[in-house]
Amino acid sequence: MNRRVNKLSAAQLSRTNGGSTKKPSNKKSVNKSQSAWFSSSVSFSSLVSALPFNAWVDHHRFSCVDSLKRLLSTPWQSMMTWLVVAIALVLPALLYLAFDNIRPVSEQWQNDTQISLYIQPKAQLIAIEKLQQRLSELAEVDTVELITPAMAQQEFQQYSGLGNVLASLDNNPLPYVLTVQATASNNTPEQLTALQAQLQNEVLVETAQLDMNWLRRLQEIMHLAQRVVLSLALLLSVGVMLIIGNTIRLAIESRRNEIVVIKMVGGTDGFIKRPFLYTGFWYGIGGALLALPILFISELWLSTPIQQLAFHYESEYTLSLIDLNVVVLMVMLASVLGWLGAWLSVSRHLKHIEPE
Amino acid sequence: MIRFDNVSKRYSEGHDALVNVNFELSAGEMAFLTGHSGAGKSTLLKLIMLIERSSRGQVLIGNRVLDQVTRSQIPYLRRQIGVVFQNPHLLFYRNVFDNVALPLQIAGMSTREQGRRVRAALERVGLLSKENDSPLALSGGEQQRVGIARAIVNKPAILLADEPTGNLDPALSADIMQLFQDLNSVGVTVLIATHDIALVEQMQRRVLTLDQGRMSSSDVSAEGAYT
Repeated sequence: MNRRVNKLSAAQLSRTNGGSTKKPSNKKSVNKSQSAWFSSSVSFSSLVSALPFNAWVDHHRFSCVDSLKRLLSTPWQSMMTWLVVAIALVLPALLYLAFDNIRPVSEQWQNDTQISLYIQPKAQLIAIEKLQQRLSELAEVDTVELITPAMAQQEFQQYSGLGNVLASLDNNPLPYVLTVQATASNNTPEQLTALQAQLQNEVLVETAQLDMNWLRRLQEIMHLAQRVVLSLALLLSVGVMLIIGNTIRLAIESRRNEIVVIKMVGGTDGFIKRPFLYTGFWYGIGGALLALPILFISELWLSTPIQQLAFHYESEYTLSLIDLNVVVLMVMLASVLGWLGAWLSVSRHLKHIEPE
Repeated sequence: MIRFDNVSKRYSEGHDALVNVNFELSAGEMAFLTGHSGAGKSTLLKLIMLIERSSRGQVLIGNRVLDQVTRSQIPYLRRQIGVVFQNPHLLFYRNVFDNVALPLQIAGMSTREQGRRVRAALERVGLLSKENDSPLALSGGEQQRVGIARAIVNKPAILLADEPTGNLDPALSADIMQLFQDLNSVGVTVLIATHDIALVEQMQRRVLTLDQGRMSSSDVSAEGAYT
């Protein structure tokens, strides 16, 4: 049907074109300036003319620079959005860094896991030393340390604050203790439990204590913390996207007239979207760059208490300040989020802006 | 160049804007589209620009059936049709030159070629000296001429105008009409919607009249070339 109409109209068009020679008065001027103003070979048949690559690159460059200029021309307004984005980025980043800093400590503790052998009170020191010697020769055992009651008392006084209670006693109630450190290759909870059972059977040993439960709990707490950080990061990322999307929506509204004109004179959706996508991109980048000093200050603020905490847990530990990976990751993530937020917003709202 | 075959347009709220409209405008022709406000003039132009699509019938532009033009092809169709509004819709934060250059930027033309074309278009509407001015500094008539320069800078085959003289006094209106006539004389197909009957009669061109969505006459007011 359509094809028939097409043919028909082509025939009619050529006929009416022929008919226009009836207007000799106009004809001369038509021919003279046709080359300048009217191309009769306008092709309505191919409606997709690819933009020249250079022009495409040029428009990207223009949109990129122009959108940044626009943001900087309203500095306070832009700063508000940048701050909101920055705060949303700092929260998960800070938690991640804290988590990342605690993890090696907990791993260190795990490697420190030792079995404490509480020796029978009546055992002789020589026998205990022999036991120490024998145990240290076991394949699974790395080192065996002897803690005498006197050493234990001293340590107890130093750290527990109950020193006076002990001092008031006639004799030292603390037993000899051997601490057994397993080798690195025999350090799994199962192997340690087996070793513990073996050591429990020693005659001199009253109790062989392996403190696994708190380690397991710690491990699970770490898993939980990891999830919390991850889900918080995800939620706040969505937040960043929505904030930027909403800001872009306002930008679209304020440029409605321009969008209508561009659509009217044949601007493609890509052409119209481009400046807004770059605006989203700049909101993301700006937010991330603003997040860095906030993160740095927060870390300095937190580093003292963390180091004190580390000291109490007897670990050599320094807070690692922002590392390059986190910086790069954050800036990249933020720019992608900004771009995505803008894209969602533009795709949604551009449809509703049509020439009237 | 422009052809309507039994075209009807009913808006979603049930209002019939156009009913069985038939006409054909051949290449290089100039015609007026008249009728009371609400008669369907704007709707007819919107169908040509694919701002709206017909409910029934076919609209053909240069042998192309508009029903078959997909949404993503619309921009490329519009690049070949210049359009002038009652309100010229200029962008006030751009100067005159950049306003006129917009369609060329969209088409991805090189900066040098843009300059050449924009100046040629501004010269044609007599505003070459104002290329660096803000549109806000121009009079209503001048703004309208900038709008026309923007519409023709792409050298479109078709020029549509919707009440282009609606805001202008008679002298300025005559100027603008002369401009359309000049463009037509170099081969552009021109269709002007207006309710300014006096002006239409003065121009002695073909007149398409719409009445409540129906094309009541498709006369030639002079010359008698089309009967």
